[in-house]
Amino acid sequence: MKTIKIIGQVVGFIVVIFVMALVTLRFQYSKADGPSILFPGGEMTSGELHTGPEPDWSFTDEIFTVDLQLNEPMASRRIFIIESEGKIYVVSGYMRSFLGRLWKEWAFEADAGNNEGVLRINGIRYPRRLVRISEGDELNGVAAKLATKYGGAQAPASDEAIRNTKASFESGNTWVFELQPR
Amino acid sequence: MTLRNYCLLCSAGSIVTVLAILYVPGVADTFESILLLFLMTNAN
Repeated sequence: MKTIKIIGQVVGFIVVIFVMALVTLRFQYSKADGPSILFPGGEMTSGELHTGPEPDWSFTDEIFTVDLQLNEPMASRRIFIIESEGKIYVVSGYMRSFLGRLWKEWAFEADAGNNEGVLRINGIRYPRRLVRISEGDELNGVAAKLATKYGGAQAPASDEAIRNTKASFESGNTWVFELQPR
Repeated sequence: MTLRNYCLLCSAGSIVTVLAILYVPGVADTFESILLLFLMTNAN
């Protein structure tokens, strides 16, 4: 009986320390200049602000994640980026699940109209507006790139891979946002 | 250990953890790396 009590106390202590560490890190990063891999960050203030014409976004094919900030509510997160036909997109998955509703608050905010933000790539900040794309041929290129860049499919993506990925878009399980300049 | 002492131990551990993450360089990064490794290992 005494052994069980000691084990319970040790487990309880570890859980308390773990939870306190998570809460502290969440708080700490909420004030930081950008996100970490696991925790959302605050306003991105460092980095040159891009002005002028749009760049050739194909360079993002070599970049796995970027930092994306939404201004309302002010928070930033690390996210996949997809280039297709000269435009750039971000995706948000699990949107029809309970976890998605908790985890992807930013996507709901952007869809509701609080869609102005900043994209930071290689230390350069690009002012952006997130516009949700839920249907249309435009999604074919996004689906193909998502399947090959992040889904492990062989390039060029097969019709089946494109169809399956696009079905996830059109069912509302995965939301696609175009990052338009502003 | 009495309940009072146990609560004191948990409180002290919590305070040390919070202060270390906030003020000791590298502790936050180390904790996040461990957490990330745990998630990567157990994701499936």
